[in-house]
Amino acid sequence: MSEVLLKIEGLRVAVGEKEILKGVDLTVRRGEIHALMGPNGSGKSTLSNAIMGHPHYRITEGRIWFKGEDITEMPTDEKARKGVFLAFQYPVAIPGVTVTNFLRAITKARRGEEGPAKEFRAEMAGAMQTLAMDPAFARRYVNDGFSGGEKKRCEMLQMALLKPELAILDETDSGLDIDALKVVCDGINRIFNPQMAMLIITHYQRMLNYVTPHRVHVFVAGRVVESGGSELVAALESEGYDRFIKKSLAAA
Amino acid sequence: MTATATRRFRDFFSLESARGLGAACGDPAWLGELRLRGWRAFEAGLEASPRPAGTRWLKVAESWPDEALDPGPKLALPAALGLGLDGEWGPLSGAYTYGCESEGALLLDEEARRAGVLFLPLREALRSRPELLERHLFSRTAPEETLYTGLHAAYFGQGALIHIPKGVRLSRPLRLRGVHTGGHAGFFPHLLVLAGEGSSATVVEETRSAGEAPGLVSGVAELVLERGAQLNYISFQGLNQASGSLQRQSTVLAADARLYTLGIVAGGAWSTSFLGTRLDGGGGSADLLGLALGSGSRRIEIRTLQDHVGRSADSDALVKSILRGSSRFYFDGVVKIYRSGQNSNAFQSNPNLLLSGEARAESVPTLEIEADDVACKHAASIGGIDEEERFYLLSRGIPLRDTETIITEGFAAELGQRLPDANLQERFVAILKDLATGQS
Repeated sequence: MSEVLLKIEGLRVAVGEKEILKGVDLTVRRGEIHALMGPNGSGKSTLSNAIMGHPHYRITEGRIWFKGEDITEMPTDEKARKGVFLAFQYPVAIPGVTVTNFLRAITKARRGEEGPAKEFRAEMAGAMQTLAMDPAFARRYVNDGFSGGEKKRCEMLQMALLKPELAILDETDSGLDIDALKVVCDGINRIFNPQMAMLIITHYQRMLNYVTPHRVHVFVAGRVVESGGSELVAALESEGYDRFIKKSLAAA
Repeated sequence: MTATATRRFRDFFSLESARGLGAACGDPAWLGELRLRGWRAFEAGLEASPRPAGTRWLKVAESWPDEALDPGPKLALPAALGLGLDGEWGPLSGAYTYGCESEGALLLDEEARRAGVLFLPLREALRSRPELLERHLFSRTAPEETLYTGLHAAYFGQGALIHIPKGVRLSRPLRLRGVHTGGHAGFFPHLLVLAGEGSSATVVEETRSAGEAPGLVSGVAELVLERGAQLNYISFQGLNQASGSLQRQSTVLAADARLYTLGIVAGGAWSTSFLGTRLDGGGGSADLLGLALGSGSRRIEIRTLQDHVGRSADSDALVKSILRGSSRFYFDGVVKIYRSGQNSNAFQSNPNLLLSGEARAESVPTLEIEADDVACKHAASIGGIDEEERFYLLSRGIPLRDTETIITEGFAAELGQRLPDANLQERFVAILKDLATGQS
């Protein structure tokens, strides 16, 4: 079996006084695409934010390991430079900073050096083409006035350039119409390679019609309640989350 | 004015010394009269205590410690600020650096000379083009406006006249550098720009200090735009940490004239600037941009006036501050639309970015609208760095110490975007980077 990239053990996370994650266990290996599916309010985004180290999310118990290293308390920027990437559900705008300058800054941070400008421009143009993005996009301010679809493409563009080993895609399908969804999923399939792993967090199965996961986890009330292969997606599609919610209530 | 401040001002300034300066400048009679008016206005200002109710203007200057009024040692013009037709703003058409007494050489390239552009030290212009000065000097800023404009009128002598003839379009900027070289308690640079019909030019005016001694710098810029002229006027205040600055900029636009003005305040212990624009003719437009960079205990005040007299004119003021340490910023923006200014658009916006818990910003917008068919909008915001923005940058691997730089540069960059050409935009970004390196 390939190397374990992400291992989460007994993770409990609170926002303020409220506990949202109630003991999450998850293992993701190199070369795998995992889907984490759950209803609204189940704590999916809390998990992605907690992995990345958002200050509003307080880890009260459990550990997070990346390539065998405990990253539970590692500063966010350090995790990112080591190869953890989070595609945000709601990426914020950075007014006044152009997409080009931003991409240049983040690739420099990730790679530890600033390569030749010409090579960078070629690489950026190639990645933009993969995502069917207009070159004029590069001159706009990051996420400033972007449509939902543009924001998600911009996240994928960053992922393409940063070449993370672990990419967490938080509801990347939300706010996309069917055409935009196809483009984004095509991009994801092209970016994915056996050297990395992806954790796709979603409410719906529709994204998984285009990106096929190796493993699927059903996430309810702050826990993984069932894991399986891609057949679970079909089960969720036909039965909804009810059965799993009941199961979670029974376990609680 | 406090009693001690009044006494100190009287120690350093007198009607006799103002007259002596006038004699040295070879003042014609009309100018002698102006100096006298200035002195009287200054004296009246000194006696008026406390300052008249309703004038927020000069709040900052009044808090300046009295002992900071000091002639300091007399220094030479620093060579680094000297000559050459290039600099931060790129290749130049003309350059003039001058001090409190010393005058550096004035350079003007062949293209500008052939086109008939006048770029003259003020004293030389008094000799060679008295008719232009008599007509326009203090036509936009009256000596009586404040006690400091009074003092300025009594003591001015340094500065320049720029005249861009009708239809001439200068592609490269003209740059002035007024350097406080000490030896006097005050430095009073005066700039008069006459932009002829359909002409276009960029003028950059810098104010700097030669040494570290305190100084009072009271500058006036009068900008007159004839029909269809375009003027880009950039002022940069980079005085030392001990000095105080009062800048008064008054512009008048004839029909269809276009003004872009950007004031950058990056120095001084305190600084107060007035950016006044009067849209006299119809169809003109003015962008008033300002950037206040506060650090340490610096106090900055920027006041804008968008005065709409002519119809169908547009004005847009965007003034930003970035404040560190325990610095303070006051913005006072007035939009005035007369009954004659129908069909005008006037916007005003003042976002402030506080990078320290001790920094403070205050924003006072005022709209006085007599016309009924106009569009006006104003907005202000005061806040620190958005934590979600910071987290976003961190999540991409940007180190914590760099997140502030990126967000701050982005915050200021919008001002550059509003400048009318790509060269100015690029130069502005580079200057911001330099300033950030010096301040953070």
